[in-house]
Amino acid sequence: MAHSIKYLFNLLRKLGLFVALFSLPMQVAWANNALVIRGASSAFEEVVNGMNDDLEGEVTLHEIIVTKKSSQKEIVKAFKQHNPDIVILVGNKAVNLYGQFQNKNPKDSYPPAIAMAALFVDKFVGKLKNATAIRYEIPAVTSVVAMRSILGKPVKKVGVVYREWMEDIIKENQRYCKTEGIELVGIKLPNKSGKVDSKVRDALKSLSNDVDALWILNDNALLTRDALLKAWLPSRGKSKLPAIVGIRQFMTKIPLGSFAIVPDNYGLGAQAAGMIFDAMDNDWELEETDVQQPVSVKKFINVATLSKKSIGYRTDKLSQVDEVVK
Amino acid sequence: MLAVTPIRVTKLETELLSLFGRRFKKFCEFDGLNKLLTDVGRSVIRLIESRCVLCKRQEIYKCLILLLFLGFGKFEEVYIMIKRIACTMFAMMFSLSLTAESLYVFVPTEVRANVMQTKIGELCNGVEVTVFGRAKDFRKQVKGNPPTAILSLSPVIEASDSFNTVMKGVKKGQDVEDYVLVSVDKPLEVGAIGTKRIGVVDLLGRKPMEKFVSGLLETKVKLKRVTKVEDLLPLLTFGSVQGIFVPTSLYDQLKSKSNLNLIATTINVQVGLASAALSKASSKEKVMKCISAFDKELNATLGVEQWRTL
Repeated sequence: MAHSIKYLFNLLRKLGLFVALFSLPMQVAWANNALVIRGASSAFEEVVNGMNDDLEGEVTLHEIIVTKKSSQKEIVKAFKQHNPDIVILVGNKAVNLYGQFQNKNPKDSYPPAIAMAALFVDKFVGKLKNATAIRYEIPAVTSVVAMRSILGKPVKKVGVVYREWMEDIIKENQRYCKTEGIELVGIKLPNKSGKVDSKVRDALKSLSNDVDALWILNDNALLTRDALLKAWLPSRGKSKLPAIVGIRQFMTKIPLGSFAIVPDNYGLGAQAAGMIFDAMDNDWELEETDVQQPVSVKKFINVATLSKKSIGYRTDKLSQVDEVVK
Repeated sequence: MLAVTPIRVTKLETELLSLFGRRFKKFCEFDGLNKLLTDVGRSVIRLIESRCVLCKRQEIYKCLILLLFLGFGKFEEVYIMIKRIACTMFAMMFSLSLTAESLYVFVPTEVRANVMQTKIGELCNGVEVTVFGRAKDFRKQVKGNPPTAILSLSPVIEASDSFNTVMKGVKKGQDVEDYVLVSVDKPLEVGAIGTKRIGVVDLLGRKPMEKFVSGLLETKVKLKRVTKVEDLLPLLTFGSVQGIFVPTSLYDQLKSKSNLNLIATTINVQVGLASAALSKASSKEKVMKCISAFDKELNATLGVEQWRTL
């Protein structure tokens, strides 16, 4: 009797082991796998959360977190381990690292890749094989339409100061703004200039009499310490025009604008999930390779600044912004 | 000890917990215990005000009861033992009453969830209200931490089989609303919808949403889901979709917001307005009283004019 039980137990154990051994590789082979290469910041984590929530387990995410020590060898290892159907690149470091990985093996073919949460991603994604992207910069039209609905008055002309290399981006923004009846008036500055502050000051002076609002770009070269202290802040202090900025701090600590329209990182992840599903439905091929615009934003408003400048706003619309700074 | 989940401690709850400390101080008034109870009250309030803005609600109650047990354990006399049991029973009853009625709200609107939660919370004494801005968060919480009642659009309620509808939102005498397909410059050809990409606010998740919209439009459609109502307009602006599937009220809102040449194609499709539903085991009195107290502005935000009890 005891012998029979032992025999049965051994048989079941062997059967269990066989099933486990057989099912494990099959699971790996059948699962939809995405390799996520991302920076370590909480913003990037939020992007991945948005993506993961929307994928609802239909695609398994495997993450590589890029640090200073990261090398393309980590990607080689992850490719061997997970055989990804798609690659998601979150942040500029991830895009660069993946670029290095592809450059090491230029003749290989690669699964589709989606780059996001990377600044001026257009410049880099074109160099990648089989890749597309979602921009991180919020288009002027999205920001201005959001501001206009809160101001409750027509905003027909919006001024922007930009550098020469951004010409194409500005033209594209002008096209989108036109569909909303908004004229985007740009003043172009050279890519490199020794006197950024005086050039910015002149540009702002020229725009001040010509537009209804300002759209301030997140361009480090135009927002230098000198330019901020000598041009932006004095000009903004005097100006009665509302301004849109792309970083919340530029509405609070550094008072450049009264509206901050910034990327919704969770929404960005959800948008990427939609693109992953599209690729999945298309047998893991990208349906479109055009760089997409971000559709989801977070809105912040500083009503104290608006009141100080005697700019009217609709209080009934304040419930539609993510944060009201008083 | 406190796991972070997206549950906000309500103002009401903060007040009740403050009261909790004071009540116990009075009821169990003797040396040592007096100080302990004051400290418990203080520490809970401090926890809520500082580190514990986002935390699991049950953990607070567990923490409270545990602290009380530990404190009472110092006394040996029978009289104190009786008081200990009485105090503990009171604590348990009190915490149970706090979690007795809970209402989860998910109705896609442009109004932020925290604003709506404050407003509904003020009107619903004794009901723990949580408003969700995203369908996924709502579904996750309903599954993981089921509430007493939910308030959402009819398709969402119909998809969750453990709730029975008890109140229906009504507008212009109807509990349903017409939906339209909105496009830019030219109307969408209804016969060719199957070849177009249509934008929608996600209510149910990818596959159920596709099934739901395809069923309504009587053809298989390719959807682009967004998490927020306001994200629909950018889809049209950037040409990411050929049309969006929205209620007529939202079409009117979009027209007042945008200067795009928006055109609505009538499709003879109606979808249920916001409704309230209860879990089978629960009593409906408190929740219905709460929803009946909604003012005109709040009802308008939820897309209804009044509520009809079933």
